Amino acid sequence: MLDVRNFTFEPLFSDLSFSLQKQETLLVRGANGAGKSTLLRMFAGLIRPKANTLFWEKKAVELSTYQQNLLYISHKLALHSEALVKDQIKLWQYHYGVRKAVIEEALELWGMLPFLNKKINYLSQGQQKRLSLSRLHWLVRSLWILDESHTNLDADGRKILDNALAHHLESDGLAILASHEKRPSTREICL
Amino acid sequence: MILRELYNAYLHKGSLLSTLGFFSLSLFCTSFALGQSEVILKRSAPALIWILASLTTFFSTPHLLKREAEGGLLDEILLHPCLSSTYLVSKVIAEWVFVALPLICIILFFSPMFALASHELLSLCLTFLIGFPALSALGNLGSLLTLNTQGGGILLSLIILPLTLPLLIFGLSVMEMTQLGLDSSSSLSFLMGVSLFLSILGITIGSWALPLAVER
Amino acid sequence: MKFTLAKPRIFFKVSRFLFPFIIVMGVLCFGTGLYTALVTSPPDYQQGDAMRIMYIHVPASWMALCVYSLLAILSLFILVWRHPLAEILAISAAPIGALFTLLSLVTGSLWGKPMWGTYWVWDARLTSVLVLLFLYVGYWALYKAYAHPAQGIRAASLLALIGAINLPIIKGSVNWWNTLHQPASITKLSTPSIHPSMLFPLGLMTAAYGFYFLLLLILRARTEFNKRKCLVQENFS
Repeated sequence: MLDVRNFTFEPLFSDLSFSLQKQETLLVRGANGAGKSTLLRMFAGLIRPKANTLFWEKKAVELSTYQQNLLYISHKLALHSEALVKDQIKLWQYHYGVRKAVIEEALELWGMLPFLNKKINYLSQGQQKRLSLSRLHWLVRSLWILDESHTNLDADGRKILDNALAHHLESDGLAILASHEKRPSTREICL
Repeated sequence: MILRELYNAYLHKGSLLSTLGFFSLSLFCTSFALGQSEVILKRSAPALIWILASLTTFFSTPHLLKREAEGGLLDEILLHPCLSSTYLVSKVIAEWVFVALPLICIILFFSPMFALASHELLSLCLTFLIGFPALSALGNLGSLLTLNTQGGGILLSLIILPLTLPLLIFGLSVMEMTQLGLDSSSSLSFLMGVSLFLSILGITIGSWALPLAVER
Repeated sequence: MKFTLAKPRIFFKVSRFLFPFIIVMGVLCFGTGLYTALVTSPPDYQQGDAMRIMYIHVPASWMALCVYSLLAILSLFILVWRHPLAEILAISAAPIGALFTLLSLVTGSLWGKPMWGTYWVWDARLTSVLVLLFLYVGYWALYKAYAHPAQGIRAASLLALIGAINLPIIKGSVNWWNTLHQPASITKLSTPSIHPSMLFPLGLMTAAYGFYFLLLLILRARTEFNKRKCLVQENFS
């Protein structure tokens, strides 16, 4: 599905190639500052990769269509810090054209529904992370790119995330994760 | 997208308050410093108001964008299928509603200080409303260009103010015509043309600048 | 990285070959230009010897504009093709252009003092040259504000581009505003026809400025190139 040929970003990494099939997970592992985030941003097309280095379904990607297949959540959570949680839901509705009920269902799963009237600024780091990760449940995309998603989550939250990942892979999804920790039984690139 | 931006701007009412506060305070200070002479006040009012208003715009625009960039919201925008110029256009519209209109209210409120007659006031507000989209588009372009620097509003003004000179000139010539009691329609149409051109230019180049600004 | 350095290398080979030629031509043009301008060319019947500053002033303004257009073209190359040589040249050219602009402004106002009685009038040309100076300053400030030169140059290129598109409008509006404000009592700088005896030194001086610009450009580009090479080597070690 996703093929990468000769990704280069001097001086962090050069000539990086691999291919990722359906139901596969790739873990990008490395120390702080090794270029994990940079690499993930290149996968997402936010740093424009050079021509003919990124292929989706055997075709060289055309960024704006390719980006409709992916869900990218970085350590920047893409939340409106000034907004209430319910305002954020409204903004998501405008932005993604998703129904409110679907989002609220996902929030319930992540245990965020009681905080509808709270300002996002006042939520704890872990709660903000949960809110941001709820996207995994209400946005249907086949390629997940998650940057350090397990940090700041408690055991419960990690479980929800891992369940979501497992389910995503079962339904023919792909996932790319970045972390500095090892994960059992996943392919990994070590930067 | 427009709805999103309007809502987003609405959420930042706190920073809007400080923007308006800055504008009214600076208006007050300058009118106070100019003294009591009605002639001088009347003569300098349009220029002062225009310059202060554009400075206020340039100090306020980078805030919102910087917030969005820090929160990672610009990534979300770039991943969205719609064009980045659409995003900029909606941003300009949102700013027109949430910055230009309140600024007009403040100008109206402060107008007795400058001894402006009502028809002069009307044309001042009109020129500002027409010129504002270009100010906002160039301001957004400037904030995108300075997003990854420490410069903030001062650097933004330094790079963008020279570009807004035509707006200033035509806006003020409309005012001058009105004050002299002449027909100002030719200047007004010049102003419209320049404003339209600069808005399009700012938005086009801004949509190039957006991916560059987000790359790091 | 090797590839990105390859293209400038050709430029530097050529420039090293041309360098002595440029120095010789520059010195020759300056010498003959200054001699003809200051000694042999006739003084203006109205302005007397004071108008000889024109030979310094006018080429400087021309060069200021030329360098800005060069900057705009280079910016296009940087943005569209990410040409490394264009980056080096643009960074090298911008401060030189700013200096030409400053020179033009200073000599202009020095000339203005005996002619108009003041150092500064809100003449359309003076004003638009001043705006040009601000554009240069903004370009340089924006480039310097970035921690990463590679990012800074792209932001600055966008600015140069929009400035170049906007410059005619600024010029036009300043002209228009000028006619609104001041009656045409000021003697315009351009005389409808310049006598050949004045045109010749003017052309020589312009050529001299051009060679001087090339000389500085090559020197600055070389320095910039070496700086980058050091940076790359540091990164690899």
